[in-house]
Amino acid sequence: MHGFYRTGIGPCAFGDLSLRDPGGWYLIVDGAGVPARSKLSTEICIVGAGAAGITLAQALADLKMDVIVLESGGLEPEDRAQDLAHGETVHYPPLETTRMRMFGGSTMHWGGWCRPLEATDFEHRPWVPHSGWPIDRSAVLPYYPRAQEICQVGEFQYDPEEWNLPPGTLLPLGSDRVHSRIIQFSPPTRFGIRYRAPLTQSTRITVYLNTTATRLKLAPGGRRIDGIAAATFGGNTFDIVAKRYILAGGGIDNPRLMLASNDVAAAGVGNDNDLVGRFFADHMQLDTAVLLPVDPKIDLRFYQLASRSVQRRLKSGGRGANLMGYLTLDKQVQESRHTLNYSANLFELSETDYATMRAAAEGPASGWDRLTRSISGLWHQISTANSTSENTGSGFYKIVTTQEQAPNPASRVRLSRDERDAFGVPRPLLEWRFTDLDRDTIEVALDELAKAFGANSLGRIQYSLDLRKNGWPANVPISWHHCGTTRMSTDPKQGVVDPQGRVHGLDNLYVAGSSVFPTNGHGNPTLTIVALALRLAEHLGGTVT
Amino acid sequence: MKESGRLVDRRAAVIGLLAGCTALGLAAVVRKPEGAELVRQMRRCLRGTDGLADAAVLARFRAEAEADFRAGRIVHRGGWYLSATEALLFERLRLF
Repeated sequence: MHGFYRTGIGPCAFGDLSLRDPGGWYLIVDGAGVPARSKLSTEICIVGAGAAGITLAQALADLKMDVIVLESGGLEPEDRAQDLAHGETVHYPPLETTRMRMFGGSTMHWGGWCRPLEATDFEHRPWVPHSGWPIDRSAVLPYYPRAQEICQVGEFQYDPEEWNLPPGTLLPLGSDRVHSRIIQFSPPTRFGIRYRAPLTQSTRITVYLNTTATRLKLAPGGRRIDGIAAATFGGNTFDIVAKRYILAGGGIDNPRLMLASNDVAAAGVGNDNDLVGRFFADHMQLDTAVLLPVDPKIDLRFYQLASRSVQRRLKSGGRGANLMGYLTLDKQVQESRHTLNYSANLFELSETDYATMRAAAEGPASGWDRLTRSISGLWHQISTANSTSENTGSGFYKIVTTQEQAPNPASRVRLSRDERDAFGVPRPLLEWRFTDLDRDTIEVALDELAKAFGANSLGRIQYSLDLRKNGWPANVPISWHHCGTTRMSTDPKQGVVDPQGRVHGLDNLYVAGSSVFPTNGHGNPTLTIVALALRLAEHLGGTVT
Repeated sequence: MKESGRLVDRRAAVIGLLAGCTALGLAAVVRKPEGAELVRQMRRCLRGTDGLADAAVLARFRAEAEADFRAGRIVHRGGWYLSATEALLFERLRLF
């Protein structure tokens, strides 16, 4: 009988480590138990057990391919594994706070937001330098419905008009320039929990936990990967030899491993054109403005962050989903006013938060304002002294921008010159950079929102963040979406991987995850990561012999 | 929104009052003396009418503001995106 699964993990108890031999008992094993300096052979080796890695492993196993997955963490979070994510940063929070090094990867702290990329996101837009995917949306579209199931969300339908929403849920914008769209919320799916049993029950998948890929072994001539060097915290080392290798370690560690594997090619693997690690992008989450509703009848709850508890169904039936609305710009506005793709949500401000944002917007106060602000502060102290709740609502809402980031080659991941991790691999150095287009998009979007709200007497908007005058804040809030660092292109001089995800110039190395996104759209990448992983699995199923 | 009116923001108050959102307007005008004075000033600026008591005046003002926004006649002052009509009133009220 093949593939006995025993609860928990343990040392690998078998001598012949080929997955073609079903003699093993444990299919999630600790790399510490692998015989030192041995070579494990398989058809596909995946580095990283996050959304992309786990989706790929299951899909490839379904295609009757044998898979080894290397995961640097265990089944539970551990400091020593998290420390592997640490790196130097410029304008970016500590990297170890943005990633989970454990089985399930960053889905283990995922917020569950799901929305697909739009057709615009795949197109070349002349006003967005370096934009354009080498594939259009139709190449990904067939995989989104299955990705929806994997992420445990509703039917693949993102037109709010198709959902059974109560009257008055959507803002009556009456505009062809600003639209309402929806996000579907995953429970969220913790891939490391939800898909642990299926992976362990598969005779074709072996997951090595606490096992870190430390080097890609580039063959002489530089056209193939001959193996992956792996190491464990206890000092064990061994190699994986596969027909194909897939990096699914995220937008920091995919380029880091490629750059650090520089013993054969000095610039690193797949980096002949100095593109690996460039074009890093995230989704900033900036509090950009205050919305003052002037129509007391409008209902803004659907657009508020954390409104996901409302479950809805499609008018046509099918699986329900937890939904949240957001506002975005029409494609024609993006074209005519030269913006990136944009989205905005609302969040009701406390009175103190409103006062802070208003003060920031208005700058130095006039004498009258100084007086009234002083009175306000005093009044607030008095009025809240007997209150049980400090954080009282103001009736004002902040507009939280989550927008596409312009592709920027200067925004990049490099190797630290000074710092190395527990395995001696250089730590990453991330420099996060913005462009004027990022700033201009915020300004134009607020102008368009102000028009839409004003033209329908829904509200007025007060800009609270003058980027043109004050520059970018020292700490721009992020979404933990590491995108773009091994971007996709048909041209090796413009991208690291080809349209299927294969690294240019190498026959058997692939990359999965949001690091292949040439542009990152205005929203959350997980659904597209899963869809692209399914697409890559299908491609490999037809190419591996 | 609170009738107790803790917030001190005359611009928000004027926007609320002009839009016919009395609750918002009253909430935004913090102390009654300042609020009453503001309302008196608004009546003066709206000229020859009963000011805020005159629903027709407010409706006309609101329609003009909506038209401004549709036509892109927006003034960006003090962080606010205002219609040209509103901005003019704000100038008269010395809110900038």
